[in-house]
Amino acid sequence: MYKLEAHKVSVWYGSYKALDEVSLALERNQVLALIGPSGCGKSTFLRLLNRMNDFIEGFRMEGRLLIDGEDIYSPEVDPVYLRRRVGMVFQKPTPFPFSIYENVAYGLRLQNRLKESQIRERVEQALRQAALWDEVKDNLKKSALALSGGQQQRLCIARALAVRPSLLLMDEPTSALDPISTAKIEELIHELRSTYTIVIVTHNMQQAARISDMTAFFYMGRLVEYDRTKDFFTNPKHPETLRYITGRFG
Amino acid sequence: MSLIETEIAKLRARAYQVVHHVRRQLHLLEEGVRLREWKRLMEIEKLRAEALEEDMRLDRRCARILALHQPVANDLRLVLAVLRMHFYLDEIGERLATIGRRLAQAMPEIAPPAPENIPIVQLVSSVRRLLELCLEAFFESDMEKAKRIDAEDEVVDQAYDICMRHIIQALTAPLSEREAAAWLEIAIAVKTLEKVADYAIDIADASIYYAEGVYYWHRFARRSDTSS
Repeated sequence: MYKLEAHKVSVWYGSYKALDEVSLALERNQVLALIGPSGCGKSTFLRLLNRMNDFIEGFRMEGRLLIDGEDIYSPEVDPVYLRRRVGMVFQKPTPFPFSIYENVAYGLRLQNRLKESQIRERVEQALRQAALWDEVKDNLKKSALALSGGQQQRLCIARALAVRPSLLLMDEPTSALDPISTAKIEELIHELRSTYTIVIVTHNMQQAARISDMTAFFYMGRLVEYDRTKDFFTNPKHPETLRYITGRFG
Repeated sequence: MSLIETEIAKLRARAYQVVHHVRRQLHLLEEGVRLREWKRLMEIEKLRAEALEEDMRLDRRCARILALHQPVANDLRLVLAVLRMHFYLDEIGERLATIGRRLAQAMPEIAPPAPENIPIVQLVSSVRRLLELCLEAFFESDMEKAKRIDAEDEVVDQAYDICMRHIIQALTAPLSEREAAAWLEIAIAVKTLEKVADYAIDIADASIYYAEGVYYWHRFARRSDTSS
């Protein structure tokens, strides 16, 4: 069974068609990079995966979107429950104005009836997974806002991982970070692949090439090309993809 | 024209310069052998020295594109194919200089009419035609040409076999020590020419990678043909 499947998914915002019959399938423990020019539909597609578009007025969707074989837009699915299973990391780090520890524990307290000792264990585990533990283990009570941008972003990843999501979404997670922090996040994504399936939106094509197993190129709401990353960046099949990734677009 | 397009155009022009040097070397070898002007063959080595500067420029151009433009897709494949072609041309250039030197020293040592009997002119000409075909395939991205080289390579093999038979025949006759040494030098030169043909075919393979994004090895294909 695929981790993620999209079958002829179309999305409208009012009369504007943002996605046009997108179909793809992703194996588990793979990283999928969504690339394309601004307004191409890649973020719309990403936000479909945890039903964040539901909040947008005029949003309408057709087609089927399956995670672990379950249609996440079926009436039986509770969007709140879905969002517990699908973690999200945003473009800019969004730590809560709490301590480092509480930032990670927050989701656990909301979701599970865990003992404090279990929460402590899960916080440490998440911070280790996010490659942040060694840097913060002596300062867990320190405000998360005092961390550097890169550390804040890894804290947000730890926060998402703490609740053990089934799928991890990342919307340009390094666009606000310096190269060293970016490299750390990329290494982290590489590590996390062994445990999680990750979908990432990025404008940085070298990053997509470095970290992903599969790459999807969106243009004007269409999925133009979807292929293994190594083939995508060495021998793209579609002329529009070729023009985009070689910088001859427009 | 975008920045990367400009860089790629410059790379192609630079690669063409490197090719030009090897073409001159091979032309000089062919002319020297055909006109039996053995001393002229020593000039091939001088041309080789001139080519080295061009080689370094091509290397720098590739490094610059990789570092500053991070090419992908066909741009990346071109840079990689040019680097491969460059490596093979470098090997060809080096070997042509060696062949020129060996023939220049050995040919005058052999008593006539033996040199006329060795069809080395045909071998050099067939190697030149093969290399031209492979280079045309590369620069014109002509995959039909790249895949058609087997027939031309067959001509090289035939000319090589004839040359070697002549050499073996000569070596079985009573010879002075100098003559025997000269024939051995010629044998090595002929064998090296065959190696030049192999490198030419590798250039055709690089052109297939550039144009189609697939790895193709004529040598392995032929080996597997033989084994099947």
